[in-house]
Amino acid sequence: MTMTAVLGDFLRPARAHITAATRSGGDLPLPARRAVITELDRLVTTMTRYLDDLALADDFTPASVANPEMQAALNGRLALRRAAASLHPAAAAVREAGADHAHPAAEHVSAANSYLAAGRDLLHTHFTTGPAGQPTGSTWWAPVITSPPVTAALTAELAACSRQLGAWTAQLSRTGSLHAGLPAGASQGLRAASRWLRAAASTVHSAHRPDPPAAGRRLLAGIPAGFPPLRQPPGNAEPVPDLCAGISVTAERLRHAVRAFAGQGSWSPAANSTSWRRHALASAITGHASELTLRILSERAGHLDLSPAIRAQLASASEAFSQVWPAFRAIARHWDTISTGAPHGPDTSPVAAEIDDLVLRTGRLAYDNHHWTPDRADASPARNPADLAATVSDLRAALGAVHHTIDAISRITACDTDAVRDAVSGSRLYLPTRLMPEHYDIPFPYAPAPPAQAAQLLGCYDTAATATRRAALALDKLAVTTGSPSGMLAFARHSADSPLTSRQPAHGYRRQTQAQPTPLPGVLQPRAGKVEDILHSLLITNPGMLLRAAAIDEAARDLIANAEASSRSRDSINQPPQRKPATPSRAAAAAARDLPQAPGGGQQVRLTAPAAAATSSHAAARVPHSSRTQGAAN
Amino acid sequence: MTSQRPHPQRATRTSLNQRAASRQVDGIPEISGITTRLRDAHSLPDTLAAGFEAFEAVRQLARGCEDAVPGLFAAFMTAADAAIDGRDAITIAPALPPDRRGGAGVSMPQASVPVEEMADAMAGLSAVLTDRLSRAAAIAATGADRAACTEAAQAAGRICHLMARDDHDRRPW
Repeated sequence: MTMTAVLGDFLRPARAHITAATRSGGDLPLPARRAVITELDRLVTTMTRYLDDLALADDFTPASVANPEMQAALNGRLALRRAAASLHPAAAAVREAGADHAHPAAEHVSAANSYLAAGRDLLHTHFTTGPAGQPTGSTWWAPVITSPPVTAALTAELAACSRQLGAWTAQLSRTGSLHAGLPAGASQGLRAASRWLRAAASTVHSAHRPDPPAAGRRLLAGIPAGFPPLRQPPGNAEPVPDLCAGISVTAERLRHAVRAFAGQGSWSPAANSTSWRRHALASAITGHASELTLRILSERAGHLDLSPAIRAQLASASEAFSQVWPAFRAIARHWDTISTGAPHGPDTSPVAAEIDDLVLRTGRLAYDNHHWTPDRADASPARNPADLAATVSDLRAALGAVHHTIDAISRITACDTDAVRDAVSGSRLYLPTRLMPEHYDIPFPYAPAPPAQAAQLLGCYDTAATATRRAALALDKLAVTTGSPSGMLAFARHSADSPLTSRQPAHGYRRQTQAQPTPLPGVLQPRAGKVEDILHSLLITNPGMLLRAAAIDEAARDLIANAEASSRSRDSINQPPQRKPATPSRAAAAAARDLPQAPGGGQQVRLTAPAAAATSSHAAARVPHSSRTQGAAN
Repeated sequence: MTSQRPHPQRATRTSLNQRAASRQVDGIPEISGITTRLRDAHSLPDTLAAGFEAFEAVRQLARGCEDAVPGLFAAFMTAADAAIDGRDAITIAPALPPDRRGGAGVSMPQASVPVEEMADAMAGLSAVLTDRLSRAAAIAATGADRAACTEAAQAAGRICHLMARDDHDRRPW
């Protein structure tokens, strides 16, 4: 079964290529070393962009000082920027010389860069550009990506890469001495880059002793591309593992569909009672089947002699599910009579179009019938516990399927609750008049639904939302306890509740890179600030101290830039508005109209030379009309 | 009627029909009456009015049976949903006469009728509905009536399919 690519698919090979490249050592042939420097320049730039994408708090502010993870990200970003800025001139220095890009070391660095760039592209698929140019999360993963655990894991991952590259770059710079044929600028750039790379590694490492939380690393590696996986229609006689995998694919597609459909409740033709009724029906059936699955798993957990804690959690989850499907049944019963009026075509939501896949698969997981459908003829006894989960691993997989199911249902319900609330507030709910008591004489097929009935419907949605959330949380706990692959959903739910960062506007990165010293031929080092200069003059080589100095310089530059901008803004407010000078031709024409006409002819009296006439016409335009005429008369 | 949870025990696997027989709802006499009215309807307005009443009856009976047997929960839930589709399709048919007999509904759960028998009765009624509404679609003068009858006939076909006792009874629609 084809699954969507995840960030780990790119991060892992990138690390592997970096490791392979560093194993080449520093003693490379000169053409290979030139190629490696060029590729290193690209690679470190890509690494820097990962952190540039994050809109972190300003340095030396309470938000950054009090938060070690934020501080680590800031330090890591600064150090990587410096490393990249050191490598730019090094790469420029060897650009014209012959380079062996086919050397394995260069190829490994190039491949690592390609993987990291592709991974960054994957992260970008979760964001779109908002009306003001700011990145806006477009998937349910977006708040996870900017959450503290994932940010910490990302900075740690980049730090690990930096650590390897820092050591290797130092080797390259040593063997790339003046005697080995490398330009001095390239060697110097490599040495500086090595220092900054090691600084990036050490600062991030100091924030996470010994490592960032495992949950964050799992989440980071598991971030999928921001588009839905391909649809996998239920096949004939799918075995249990395929059913579980299919459920997770369908659930992911539904999550995307919900996200895309959210917010369309007030205008989309598909935001209608038929869609909401289908969602409720499917949620009731899947909830019913999922409760059965959990009870089977609970029985099986006893057979497999799982810990009492897991069995207790399974029982608790089953109880939570027993509240879910009755809530949806109640919603469905309300939709029996209430609707959004006459149906206008076959429009249904994208969720309704695919939720039947979830119904079929959850039914086939619960019942002992590979071809189960809701049809009466397909009604079957429950699946044998040993058939559902022969081993503990199978039990985890089945739990994961139920977990994905309730997670998707929970998101659909939250979206529908908002949409139905919109419909109620917009008075868009109706009853068929034919079902109303005879004394109502309404000459239309539909009449507005009574407010009390609409309120009851909303109450049912609130109940269902609460029940699904409770069931999802119960499954979150169970998935983490049992180590189910769906534990990612639990981490994501908890992480998304507290985003640490946001994404940097698209122009943000450009602004920052423009602020960096432009690599010019002959300029071998990034421009150091005053504090950093002082430390250099004191022969300080401690990366941590240099990094702090660079941070202070950068903060000072930002402060001065902001102050200059404020000053310009203040000056523009205080200055009197400048009048736009009238064009000579129009002013002259206006003055000419006021001039006395020569008697007997249409010719104007020329008072001054033509060159002066235009100038005098400006003054003439500012004096009162009467004095002008008098002066002219005099 | 109390709600019944799905349960994995062997009892569920072995005695689906026995348990079904023990849970009963009413409505067979009403279904017979509605079926007769549907068969007796010769004009399009009469067919639509009887069809509306039939769908409403199926909906109510299906709702009444939902909790009777866990294994048939999905079937009855889906049948009720299809009945709403059919009823709503007819509601906007221009030829539907403006009386309100459709709101009368069916009585339940009073007498003792096995759930399996109820499902059979619903399957029978929906088969008649499919037939009558398909014929009505053929004679409908306006496009709106034709579309309403066609859509309602499809909904009735789905109910027939859902309520069929076995594969032999299921037919394409």
